[in-house]
Amino acid sequence: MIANNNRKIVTRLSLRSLRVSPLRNLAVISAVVLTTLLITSIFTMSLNLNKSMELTMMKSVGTDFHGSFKRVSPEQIEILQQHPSVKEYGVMLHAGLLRNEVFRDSPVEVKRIDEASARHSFIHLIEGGLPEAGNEVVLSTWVLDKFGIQHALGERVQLDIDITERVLKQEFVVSGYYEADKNLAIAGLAFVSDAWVQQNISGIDPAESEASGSYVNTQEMSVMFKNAVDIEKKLDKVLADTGVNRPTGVNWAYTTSSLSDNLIEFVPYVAVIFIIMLSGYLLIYNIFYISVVRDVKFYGLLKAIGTTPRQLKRMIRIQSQILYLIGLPFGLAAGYVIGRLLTPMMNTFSSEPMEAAYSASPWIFIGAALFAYLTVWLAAGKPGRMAARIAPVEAVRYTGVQTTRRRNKRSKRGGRLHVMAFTNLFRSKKKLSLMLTSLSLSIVLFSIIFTVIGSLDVNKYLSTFLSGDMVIRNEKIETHEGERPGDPYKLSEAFSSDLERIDGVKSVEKVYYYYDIHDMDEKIRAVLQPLSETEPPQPYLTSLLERNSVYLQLYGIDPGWYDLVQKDVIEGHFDPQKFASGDYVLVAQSLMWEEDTYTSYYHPGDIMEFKNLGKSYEVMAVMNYDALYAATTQSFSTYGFNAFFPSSELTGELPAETNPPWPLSATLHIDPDKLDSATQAAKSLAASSDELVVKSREDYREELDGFIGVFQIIGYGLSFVIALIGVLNYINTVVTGVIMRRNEFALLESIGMTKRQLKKMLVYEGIYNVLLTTAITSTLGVFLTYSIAKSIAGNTAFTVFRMSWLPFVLVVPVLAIIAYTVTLSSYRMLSKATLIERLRQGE
Amino acid sequence: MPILNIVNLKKYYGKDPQTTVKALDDISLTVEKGEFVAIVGTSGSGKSTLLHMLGGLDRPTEGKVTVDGNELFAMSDEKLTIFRRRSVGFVFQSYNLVPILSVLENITLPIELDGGRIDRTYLDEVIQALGLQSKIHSLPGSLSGGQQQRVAIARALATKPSIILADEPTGNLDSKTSQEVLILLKQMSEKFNQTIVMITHNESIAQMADRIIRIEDGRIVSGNATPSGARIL
Ligand SMILES: Nc1ncnc2c1ncn2[C@@H]1O[C@H](COP(=O)(O)OP(=O)(O)OP(=O)(O)O)[C@@H](O)[C@H]1O
Ligand SMILES: [Mg+2]
Repeated sequence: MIANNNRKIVTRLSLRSLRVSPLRNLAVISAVVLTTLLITSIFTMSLNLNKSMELTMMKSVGTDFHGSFKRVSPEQIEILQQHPSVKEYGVMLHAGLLRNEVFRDSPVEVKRIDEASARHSFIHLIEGGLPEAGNEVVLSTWVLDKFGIQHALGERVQLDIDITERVLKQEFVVSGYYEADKNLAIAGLAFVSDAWVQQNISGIDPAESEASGSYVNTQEMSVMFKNAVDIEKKLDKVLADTGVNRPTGVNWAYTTSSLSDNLIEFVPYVAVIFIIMLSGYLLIYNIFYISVVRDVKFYGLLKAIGTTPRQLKRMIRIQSQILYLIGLPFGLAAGYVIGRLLTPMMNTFSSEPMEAAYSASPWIFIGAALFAYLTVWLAAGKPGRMAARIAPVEAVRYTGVQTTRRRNKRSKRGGRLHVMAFTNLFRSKKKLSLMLTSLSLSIVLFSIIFTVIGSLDVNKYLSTFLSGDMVIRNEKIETHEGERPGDPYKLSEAFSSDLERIDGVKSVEKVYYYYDIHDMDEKIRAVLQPLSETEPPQPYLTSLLERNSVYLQLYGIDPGWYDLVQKDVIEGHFDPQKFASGDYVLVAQSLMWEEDTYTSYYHPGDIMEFKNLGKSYEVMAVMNYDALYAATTQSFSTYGFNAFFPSSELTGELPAETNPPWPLSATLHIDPDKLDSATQAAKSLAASSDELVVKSREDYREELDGFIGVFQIIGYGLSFVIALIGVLNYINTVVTGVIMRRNEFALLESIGMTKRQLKKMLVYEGIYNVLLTTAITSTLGVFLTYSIAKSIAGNTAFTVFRMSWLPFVLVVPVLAIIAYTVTLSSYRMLSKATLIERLRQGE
Repeated sequence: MPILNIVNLKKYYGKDPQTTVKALDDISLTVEKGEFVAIVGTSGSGKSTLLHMLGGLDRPTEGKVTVDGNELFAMSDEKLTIFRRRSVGFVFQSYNLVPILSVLENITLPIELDGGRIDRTYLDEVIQALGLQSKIHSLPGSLSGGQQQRVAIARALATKPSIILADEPTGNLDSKTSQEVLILLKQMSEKFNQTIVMITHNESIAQMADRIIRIEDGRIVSGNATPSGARIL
């Protein structure tokens, strides 16, 4: 009861204190808004990113069901669906494959689905409904386009459905169609009705078709649980509880895209949030700290009258909470909007194309509010404890000239202001060194970030992706996994002659690609065998040794690439003429299991046999594992390696029964005068195929600009915060120093120092601070910046180290201005009275 | 029964032995309940320092202070503050009102901080006696010095403390107002059997006290004997 009663007066005191310090409140509210805004936008972005990643992966899986039971019978479905953990389920029956000629290269599966499966498989019908009659079918717009029929209900289409034992040819009526989603992995789907299934394939024994691998008339039951935690365990539990024994499948989109598995991706976010909280903390802490020091008498008086330390702490706490509550909604709202606007930009930095998905999870706001609260809570804590510790005598002590003793001591030093100022600096060595460290540190960090950003090099970046003016890549080849519709032959000879004929194209340099399962020879075994005997065993390596093969990527390159070879050579010498003869191979180092370790199985002069090329080659040189990066698929297989031949070696006569090589990319070298028109022409040529990706030098430049933009935002944001910390620390030290020395200044005045002289002395102190800081940064600081920035730039792709001197030069005038302003305003504060005195004199 | 007991109280300022200021140099003193004690002495003799120690506003270098049976400096900061707001009323030379609270709020502040119930009739009586009725909703800043000092006295009396400590309560007032304020203080304390320890430079005010203690250089030079006689005046 007592506690409740006295809470009221503490609240009243807090509110009144707030009312008399509008400027301080504004500063704290701004800090709260800034902190909340930044945290909210980070949360929004990371949740959106996570959701985008999840969506992208689910689309490539084809469903957002948590998991599935494969090849279940209708009776088993009945049992399984009754399990309490199954919240929702859908059944999909595999009916066969389309054999129509237009789908020769891209298989289309025929299925029967129910409403739940459609909903969970991103199949949103534009028109119509799921098929009911035996001759009804639902197709995607992609399939309709392939058939060359209109997007309309009632269209007739002839389907040749392969049910393994025979191919059923039948005319169907389109009962519904849906938008083919280019992000969806399986574009080719046709949905038939249950009536069709009953008429045509119900006689097929699922067990038999399972054994034969056709899976016709087998059903898969997909399920949704309460949440996506431990899906595999949940599936197993359902099986164990029901006694059904069938294979299960987990939707890996839930496991690989989950926060916990991708923790490393979120480390930057955590770091940024920490920095934001730290800067918010410092801002708010400093404002409260100075206000407590300023109002020492006020708190001392309250304590003398009987306000307990705990009540004083609460007063500060309540003030901070009220200001927090005022700032919070603004910060949350603005942060959410900004985070949402920035999301599409963040998504472009992902290695795969991503569709932006937006989250409006309440956790964004709850989380941001909590983190911001934590910041405010921590920031107000120490000033609160300080107010609580103030001795009550502070309030009642008579302030004025106190002793004559000090006067003598002072006068010995004479009236030389700069000498006085200099000795004043070293009065509190701890404070001085803290301030100098913090200032110098922030300048050094700023210079490091500035130097690293300045070292980013557009040309170095471009050359890793592009050797000419534009590149046309066959992206489909680069995705090995899964059956995807697509024509790997899109970059045909005919197409490339079309490219060559474009006005302004000087040359078209092609890269051919061949995926080679390469028998292990003595040399490879000599390296891998010992590795397999070390502990702990590596299952992947063991399986490679058992299979006695490694996976190689062979590239046939046109002469236009030859100029780029030598810079990646680490052993041997590259001779273009000899290489063009076709008797030589360039091998890259192999990527080993351990990160950042590479080994070459071969050395220049070794002879290598390539069974699938029907020929032996002499190793001309050994190259970096990622040599000619722009020419490759940009993926690497562990223990395998890349090998480069002249393109004639891959396009020439190959042994029978080997797969033909794939044209991977065509790089165009264009006459600079006709760059625009030729780029346009090439783009429109390539646009006829949906599997070719065209990127010009300009496109890559834009990508890098975006990357640099984000890097700059984060980098400069970080250095801003760090600089802020340094400056705040400085302000804090100077202002509190002046407040605490108020009596001493009064004394100096009383012995004849004029206000002008006093001001001069303070300005001298400021100048000395700047000089000391400059002395530190221009020696130790330059050294640190040089060595740290150099090592960062050296370890980052796309950077060429360039030392930036600007921060060191710029810092001197900036510091001088800050020092001067801070000194002047703290001097002005001196002439104003404290809160108590101000108000006592009557407003 | 003594309400206030001071034993070997010392307060030194400064660590350097050559320059330490012995503000209080081994003071022992007893004050009886209901007694009105005046402390006099030259400027810088240690009067304020002593008063601060009696009220627990500052901690001594050495020695003990016992108020109403409670040893002040054995208490934690929190406990000491609570004890102070319940048992000690302060009147300072410079009024020391809380500028952001109205006159009435200032007066009731110690009670409210304690979470106690406000005794309206008693409070009205005090306010009436000090002539503050028309000012209770004003902020201290708009009051004259004398009025502010009367508010400070009202605040000191509000919790009915057993002891009132006053440091030159009339230092900033003209002699007529000083007299008025003093008489009020004395009347109130007599009515509620309160003990008053008051610092003053004014000889005629000192004469109103039951006992005058003289301090020089941090030592009591006279008046350290409890008078057996009844109150004068
Ligand atoms: N915080 C302090 N630091 C150093 N010395 C102090 C401090 N407070 C008081 N003193 C010294 O202690 C001595 C006693 O001071 P005190 O304020 O008690 O004197 P006083 O008798 O109240 O004087 P006055 O009549 O002028 O108010 C003085 O010499 C004073 O300078
Ligand atoms: Mg005094």
